[in-house]
Amino acid sequence: MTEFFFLMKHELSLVLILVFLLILKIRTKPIVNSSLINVMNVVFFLNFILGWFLNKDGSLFGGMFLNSGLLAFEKNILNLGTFIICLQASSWLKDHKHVPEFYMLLISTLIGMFFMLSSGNLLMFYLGLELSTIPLAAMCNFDMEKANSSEAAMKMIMSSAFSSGILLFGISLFYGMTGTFSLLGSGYNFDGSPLQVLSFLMLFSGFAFKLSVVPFHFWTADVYEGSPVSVTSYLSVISKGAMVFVFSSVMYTTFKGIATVWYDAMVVLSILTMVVGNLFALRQNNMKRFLAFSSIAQVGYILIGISGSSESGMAASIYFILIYIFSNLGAFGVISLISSETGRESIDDYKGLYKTNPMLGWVLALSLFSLAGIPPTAGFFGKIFLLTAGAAKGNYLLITIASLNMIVSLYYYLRVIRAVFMDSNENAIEPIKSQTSIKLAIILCVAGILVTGFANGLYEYILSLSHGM
Amino acid sequence: MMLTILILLPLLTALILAMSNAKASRTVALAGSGIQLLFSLLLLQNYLTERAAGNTALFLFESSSAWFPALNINFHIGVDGISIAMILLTASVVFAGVLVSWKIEKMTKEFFLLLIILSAGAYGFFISLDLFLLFFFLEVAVIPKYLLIGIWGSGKKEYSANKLALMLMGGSALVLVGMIGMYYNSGNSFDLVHLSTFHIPFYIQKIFFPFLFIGFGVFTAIFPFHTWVPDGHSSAPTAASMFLAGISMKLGGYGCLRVATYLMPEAAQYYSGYIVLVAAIAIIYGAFATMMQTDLKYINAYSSVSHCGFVLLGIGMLTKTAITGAVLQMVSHGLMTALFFAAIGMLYERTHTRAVKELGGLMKMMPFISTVFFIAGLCSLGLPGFSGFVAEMTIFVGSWQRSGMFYHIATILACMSIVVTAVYILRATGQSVMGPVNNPKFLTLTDAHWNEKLAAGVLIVGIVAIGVMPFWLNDLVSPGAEAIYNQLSRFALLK
Amino acid sequence: MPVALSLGGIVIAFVFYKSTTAYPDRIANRLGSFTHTVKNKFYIDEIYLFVTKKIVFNLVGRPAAWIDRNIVDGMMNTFGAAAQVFSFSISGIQSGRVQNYAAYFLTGIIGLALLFIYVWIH
Repeated sequence: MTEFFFLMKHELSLVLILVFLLILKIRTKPIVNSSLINVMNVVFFLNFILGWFLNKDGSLFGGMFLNSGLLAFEKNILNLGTFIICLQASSWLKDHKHVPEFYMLLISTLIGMFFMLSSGNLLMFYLGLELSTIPLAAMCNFDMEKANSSEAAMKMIMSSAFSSGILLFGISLFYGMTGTFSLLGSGYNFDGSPLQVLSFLMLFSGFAFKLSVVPFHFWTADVYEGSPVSVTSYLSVISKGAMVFVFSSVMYTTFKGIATVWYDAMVVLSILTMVVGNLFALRQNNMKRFLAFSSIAQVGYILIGISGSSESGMAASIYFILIYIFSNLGAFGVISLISSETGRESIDDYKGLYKTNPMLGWVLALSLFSLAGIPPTAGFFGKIFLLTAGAAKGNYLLITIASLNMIVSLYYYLRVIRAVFMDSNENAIEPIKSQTSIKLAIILCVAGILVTGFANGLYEYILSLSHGM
Repeated sequence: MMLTILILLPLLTALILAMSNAKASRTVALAGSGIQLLFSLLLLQNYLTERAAGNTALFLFESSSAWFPALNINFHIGVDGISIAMILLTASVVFAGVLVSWKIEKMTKEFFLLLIILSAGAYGFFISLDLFLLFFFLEVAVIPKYLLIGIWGSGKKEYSANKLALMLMGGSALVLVGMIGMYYNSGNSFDLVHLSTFHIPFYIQKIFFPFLFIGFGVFTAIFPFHTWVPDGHSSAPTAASMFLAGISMKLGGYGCLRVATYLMPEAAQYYSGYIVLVAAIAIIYGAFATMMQTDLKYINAYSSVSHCGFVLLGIGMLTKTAITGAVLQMVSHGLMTALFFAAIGMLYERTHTRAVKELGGLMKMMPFISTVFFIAGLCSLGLPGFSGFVAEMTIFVGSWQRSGMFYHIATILACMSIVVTAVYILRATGQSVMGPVNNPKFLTLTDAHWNEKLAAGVLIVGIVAIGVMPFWLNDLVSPGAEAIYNQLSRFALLK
Repeated sequence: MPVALSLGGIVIAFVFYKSTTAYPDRIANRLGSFTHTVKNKFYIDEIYLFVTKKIVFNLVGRPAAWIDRNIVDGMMNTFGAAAQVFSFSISGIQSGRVQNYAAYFLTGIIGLALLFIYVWIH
């Protein structure tokens, strides 16, 4: 019985927070936004810290729900990201009418992701996926007065519905083929008969949609642009991170038998994703849209890592996601602050930012360099390890294309750097005083960007966790 | 331990700089780079003592600690004579660079911070014995260069900065592919010492040698990937130009030698004809293109293309003397071009023009700066007594040792470029500092200040020390060059 | 031998220079056009100027500088421009219409299916 609490610890603590919020909401006394935000920040911090203790390996409900050191670590990473996003959201939320609801939706999606990560069964996986997607669409609509935001929510829900349909089709074929929903592959052999490959194809496309792999990525930019910045960063970091974790483990366990089939698909898709993501990012002028396409291109690199050898590829992609959380949230933190204080989001608005807000300028620069993979930021290590893992199969053409793509991506990151540091602007963004919580979030991100790469223990730790896979 | 301090010193300086204010920053930067220069001399002295005591190991002060053991990446550092020479070069150029930037007004603190970070990248690069580490330091330097040119530059600075950053990034992208290729074909190792003993199969070498050589070649302005040089150098502020031409281009030469040639000796021999061809084109073509330039910085930038062609020529010839010459040329060109850019910067600061035609007669008002300018010019055209002569002469002698009609013709053509060099150098120096005073405004200008005199002094001492007593440098670098040559003859292909 | 010859030359020159007689002039006149050539330093300056200004500068230097700026450098700039143009030409795909996105989604699945069939056959 106690095992139940230990194994589902991450999920249960989130459910507790959710219940607490519900009780708070049904009281008639109005809630003061700022105090709720502060309390929630502390709660998320505690949630993140507690996630590290008393973890156990094992399974529940007849293999429906699994937990292991690796899964606990992945959940902790997501907890950390959510904590940082909540810190960053404080400036945007402080005048919002529906703060408790925002947190409820946020926690629901996070619970969904945790279940998805821990699923040992396709049904559980599907439940988790839907639980993480539908509240997210509601969150996209959280800039209630903006038509843009509603459009984003609409596009999100429509596209998700479509991809869920495809995914369900794949799941039913899977069941028909193997007679089980279990992902762990005991009792059947996935040997690559045409029908099996068809079911794999459907599942794969569902994953590709969530990961926004080209050509399943079209919803991404529109949704990212319309949503509130905090939701955009949640989508691009947490939601994507969770999906990468699930995707890599499913590829390496359930579909290990048909690795030769998906290897080629992965190579083609990663090249497409990098090239198209980069080419679209070249011409964007809205910061959120720009980061949306850059994050599509990043997924291309992750696919390279996954396509390589199993253990180091898995470790490299988890490591990369951790670094990506810090770097992307660093950038989004600055954008979110500027957007909520001045409402300006285009790259041209960032001209002359360094003159008025030198600290924000440096943070943005550091985050973008990390995204571009320039040392000494952590992004460099993440990217090199992904490429190294991807080259294990001897596909040097892929590595060459990837490293040439790094030049293109540097070009558009430098566009922002140029606007911030070099261009002069009469109408520059005025000096912004940020709250303590936002400062804390930014410090966390900068520390992460600077330390995660050099901290060799971290990579070794992730690798040792991946050994079990 | 010595080497760890060498790399920690600039980082410490950068840290103090980041915390200091704009006013104190230049003093901090000067102190930091000064201590670094003294420390480099101490390193040289320790190195020579160690060698005199009979230590014949290829790399001294070697130390290795695991960094990412799972990927077999180590923090492996060590130096041979070539590295020591490059470290000394870096220290003197950075020290002089800080001095000539003494008057910088705009974002002073950030300027020195970036300059010091840049130098940390160069020091790290020259002491790395692990390819991952080497690549790390190679890329560290890209962004500071971009910002230095883009923020403090002149002319079409954003365009030049972009071009430089992207082309150098392209170079390092190629290096990355070559590096990963070597990793998987040598039992998963990035270690330079291990790779030099491991024999990578010839067909693998043939694939990855071009990646590494061209990749590093972009840094050292290999034809036709040299076009970032004129734009980048001419838009950069003086100290950044000095660093770019003096040190950054040497990163490429060092990489071509230490990584590409040393680790893939058979491929180096296989491709040697192409290298010589490209180098000869760069030398001749660079020299002729220089003749038509009217802006002093463009003149020096194009002449750098030509002079760095000599480095590649020396490497491509694959004889012991030629390789030694290539290293000498790297040091000599580093000092000479830094001096040249420093002098141009001083002239520009006073006259606000870099066009040769608008200058003239400056010798009367600024005898010191004009003399410095002249010395740089004379060194560039290879006048005996200065370092340029020693280096180029060694390369020619070494090149001639390579038998074969093609190589002889390339050597002769390279020799003839000296005449062209003389034409443009004498024209540029003659017209700008000799003759009548063209612009009456120039009559009120003042000569060099203490900081400029010190900066020029440091560089001139280096140039003359090599020019008059070439043997100390030759003795310093030749064991390193010999090791590379031995590697080549061990896996001889062209016998 | 060469030392003796050159010393001899120096001695003769010195004698001619010192002597106040018309003897050197007479020799010079007798040699005629040769003296003229010598007086103009064998026209070396003129030849030098002709070679550098007319031939080297115009026929070699100028084309080299032109080629560098326009062809070699132009090639590098073309890479950048090509990426921009290509980026522009595909921008219409991101139309903002969800039904189009669904169509691309399906195309993607069909494409993947074809890829799988291809892999399966080989």
